Amino acid sequence: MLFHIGRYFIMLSKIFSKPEKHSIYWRKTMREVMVLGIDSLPIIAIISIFMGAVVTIQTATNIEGSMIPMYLVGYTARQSVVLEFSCTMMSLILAGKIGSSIASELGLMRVTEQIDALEIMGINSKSYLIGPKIVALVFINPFLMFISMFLGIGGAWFAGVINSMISTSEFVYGIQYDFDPFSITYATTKMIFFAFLIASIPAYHGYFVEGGAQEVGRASTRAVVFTMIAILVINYAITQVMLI
Amino acid sequence: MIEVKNINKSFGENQVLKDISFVFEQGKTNLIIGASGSGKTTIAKCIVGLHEADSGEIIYDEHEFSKMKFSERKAIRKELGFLFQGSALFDSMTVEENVMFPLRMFSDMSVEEMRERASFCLKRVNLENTNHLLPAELSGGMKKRVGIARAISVNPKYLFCDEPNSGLDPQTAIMIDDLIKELTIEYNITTIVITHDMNSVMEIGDKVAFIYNGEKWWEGTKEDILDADNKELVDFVYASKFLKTLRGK
Repeated sequence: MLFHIGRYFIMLSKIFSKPEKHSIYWRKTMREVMVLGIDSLPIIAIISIFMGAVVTIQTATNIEGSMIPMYLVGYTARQSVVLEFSCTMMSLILAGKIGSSIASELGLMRVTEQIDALEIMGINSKSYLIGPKIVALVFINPFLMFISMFLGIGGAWFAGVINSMISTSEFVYGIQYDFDPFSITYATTKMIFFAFLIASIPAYHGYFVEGGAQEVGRASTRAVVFTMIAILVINYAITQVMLI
Repeated sequence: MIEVKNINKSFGENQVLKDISFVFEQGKTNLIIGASGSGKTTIAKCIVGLHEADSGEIIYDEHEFSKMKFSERKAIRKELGFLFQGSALFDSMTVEENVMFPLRMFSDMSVEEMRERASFCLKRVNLENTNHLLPAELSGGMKKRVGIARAISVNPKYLFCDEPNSGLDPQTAIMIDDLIKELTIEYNITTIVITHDMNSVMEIGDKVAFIYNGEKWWEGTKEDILDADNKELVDFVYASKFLKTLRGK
């Protein structure tokens, strides 16, 4: 385990060295923003809308007929979407989608000697292949998170209104009630850390694959599992530091 | 010229290379031959720095490569072409982009100049009108030729070919061998070919080193090899019953 942690940090130190040609790295980063970030928008949209809707229905059903005011449905939807769902849950989902893709892409490049070809040409393959992925995700994931927040709350409102569980004015009052802008800072901080993990841990597993197709598959699975564990641990650590 | 002096390499307990020394001459095709698992590819990977040798020296035209740092090695690596056994083409790029890739990274050429150079290199390996194809759309022989075109795009001083004709039909294999030989003479480069194909040895082997169990067992020319009396080499060269019968006669 210590060997892997050590090698992971050595890999990170090599990634952030001076690029061979800035223009090529820039283009590659923009491509990764499209492939890893923008292409994830449909899945993020679908999950966010439906999760927001489910939160509303569950909350409204549970407080119906009690003394608890209905605007708390909006409040609950906002709190769950902003504090945990759009950053942590979405990152766990992206770890599965993007993490497996990064690990298998790099793993396949390793077993077909494409990484060796880069090294022989004198190119820092870690920096060239992994650097743009990390930069792209750290840049784009917070935007994806804001889109997820918007759609999640939108889904919550839609489900509440269409089922006549809550009026629009009550819902809007709820989502504004006791709002602390620091929760956005907290969520964004988490998302930046998670984006770094989603790119770097699968990249590590893919880059150092040894063997053939079966090993690439195993590396991809390992990458997703370790990324998810790392996200949960870091989530706890950041919450401890920022909220207590 | 590349000189290798007393190279040793182990993977864990397993010593793969034992005290290998050899001089790879400029303008000649230098062959490293031996059975599968004898350590041929490991020698090449040590020479280009993909593996670090445990001890010994690797000297590229008086530059001691083995003592250089990664950044210092870049200058030599820019003059080095490597044809991989599986071609190692970048599968997300077209043929033209693959050939242009080293130029994009290291030259100040304009896109037009790079395109011209790529077309020239592809023409040189008899691959015209394939510029916009993806590697997945090419046959094994075509992939090897694109690999050669990519390797020569930077005008290399050193060319490494790892099993250049493995998995190819005899005619295509001879075509690849001829191409390697022609390029070696045309550009006066130091070419190192890793192979276990005796046809290649007899076609292009100016200088041959036979590796057996990680040790250099024999060296000479392709003419010498037929008369060698080294048992392991004879067993390797005359592996088939047909050839053994011929040798008997």
